[in-house]
Amino acid sequence: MSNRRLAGILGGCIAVIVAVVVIASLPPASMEPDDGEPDENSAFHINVIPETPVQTNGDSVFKYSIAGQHFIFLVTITDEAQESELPVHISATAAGAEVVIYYADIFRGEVAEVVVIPKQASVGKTIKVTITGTRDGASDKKVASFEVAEGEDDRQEYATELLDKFVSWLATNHPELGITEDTAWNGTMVSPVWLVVSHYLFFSEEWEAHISWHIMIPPYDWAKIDLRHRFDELAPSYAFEISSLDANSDPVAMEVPETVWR
Amino acid sequence: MELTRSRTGLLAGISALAVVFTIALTFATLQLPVILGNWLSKYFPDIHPVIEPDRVAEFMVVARPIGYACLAIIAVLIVTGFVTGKKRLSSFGSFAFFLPTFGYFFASMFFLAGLGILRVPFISFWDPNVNLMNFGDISYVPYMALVYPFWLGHIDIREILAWIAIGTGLFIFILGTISWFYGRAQRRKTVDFWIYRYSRHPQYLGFIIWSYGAMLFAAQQPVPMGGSNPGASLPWLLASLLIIWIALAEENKIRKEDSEAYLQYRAHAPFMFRVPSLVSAVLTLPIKLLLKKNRPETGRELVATFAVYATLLILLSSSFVLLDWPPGIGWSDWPGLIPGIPGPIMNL
Repeated sequence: MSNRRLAGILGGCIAVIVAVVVIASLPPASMEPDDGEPDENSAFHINVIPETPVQTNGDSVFKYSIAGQHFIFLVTITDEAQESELPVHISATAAGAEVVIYYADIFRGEVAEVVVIPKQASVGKTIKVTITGTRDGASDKKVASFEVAEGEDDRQEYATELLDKFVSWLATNHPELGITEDTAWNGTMVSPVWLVVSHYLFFSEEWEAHISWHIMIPPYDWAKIDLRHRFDELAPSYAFEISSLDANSDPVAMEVPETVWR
Repeated sequence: MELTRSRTGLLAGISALAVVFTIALTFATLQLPVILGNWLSKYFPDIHPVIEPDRVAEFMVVARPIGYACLAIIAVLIVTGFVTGKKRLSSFGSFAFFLPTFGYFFASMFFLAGLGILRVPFISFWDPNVNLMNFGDISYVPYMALVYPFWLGHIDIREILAWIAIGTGLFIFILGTISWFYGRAQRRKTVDFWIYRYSRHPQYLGFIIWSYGAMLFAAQQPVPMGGSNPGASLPWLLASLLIIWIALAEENKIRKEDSEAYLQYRAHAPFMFRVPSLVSAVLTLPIKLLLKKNRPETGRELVATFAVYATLLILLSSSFVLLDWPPGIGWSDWPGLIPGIPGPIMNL
């Protein structure tokens, strides 16, 4: 084999590899319509909550998060043409954020959690999240967006203090929930632009706990908790309220919110 | 008769020894990275890439040039080995190129934390826009073919398959090594007995199978929050091709020495392992089209063969990359949960 032929082969190989890598690094030329409408041929549809942005008086109103905190979407199967033995696999992409999916393979009645964690570089930008459900060649796609506000988590300490109050009471008064003082919780700040009422989400292996509290003088300094059973509930199933923190009131059951807080 | 009985006993003894070594080394393959990783995490602590991007950026300023330098050293070792004919240098280079795969055994959010620091030579391939590590994903086809039918039957063999590959590779490697030493002790010019009857390069074959198992195990590691696991298919693919190149080059050298015994041996023993003639015809088709003969015989032909096979395999792997397949978090959870069995619940 001559040097010239060898150079030709090597040059050809390098050209092919470079071309493939360049093509792979290009963004997709055409994407699914991001109007949130499901694919026509899909054998199932996925439902994603919360809806964001919401159209109000012709304006798009976005929900917010901050860098490093978790924006959590709940995904379920709806309008399934025929119940399948195979699960729907949920995947998601979001430029400018990390995505973690819990319980990614769901059957009807189960709930996947798509956790989107904005990067610092995304502050002031809108994060577009594309969530896809696939099963056996069929797929459905939903797109949601939220904005990343500037800020940091300055609520964790107080939110944890409130959670501890509720957990202690729940462990004694509602042992059927399986929540004890040893239950491990991980938290994330939500609704960073809400100021008078603050919100925080905590997650145990089994429960999502939404804590909210009213930053107000007694007797209006209430605190609330609502609990959603993860992976099989889309909305809270229990809710309790401390009417005044200053008065050290015991929690009492309250009307359960119809939707999760985000 | 006495001689046969004696050799049978020896073979049984050697096989038993190989089994013991295989068990020990399989255990070491799986456990040493964990022990080493825990120790190294004191010096290379885990960092959440989303929460502490500045620390990651700061670390990368130092790590990036080191990674490039390591990769350059590995490339120099491989090329020097081929140019000078010192194939051990090339073999060592190939092993060094694959070694960072063990960094995957230590799950971390930041890919260079703990034992992940071994992956520093992979920095060049770990691009967020196009993950070059996946350009060897065609290597997963045998894995897919074995795992999927079991998965349909609600049986998960993914991790077991990786262990079996690691153990089988080590067993073949050890048998090959013992046979080779035994042959040398007997002053044989050509080692052509025991496992060498079934493979002309059992040690290289053992390395390829062992590293395939390690590659699978690496790809199966869970992805901690904020981290990613693109797998290590490209390093395995290139390291394996290099090993095959070395084996071919060694055979060419022996052929030039005009060893009649070796030529006779080569006519009866397969190169790596016996495959059906149709498969063999498909695998060697590119060589036949390129060189108009069955095997490369000169240094230039070897270079051309390596380049063409590497390009073809990368081209085939590109379909996985372009289709962004497997969906979701990648190979670590393919083909997904066993239907009907709830998945693991992880803490946020």
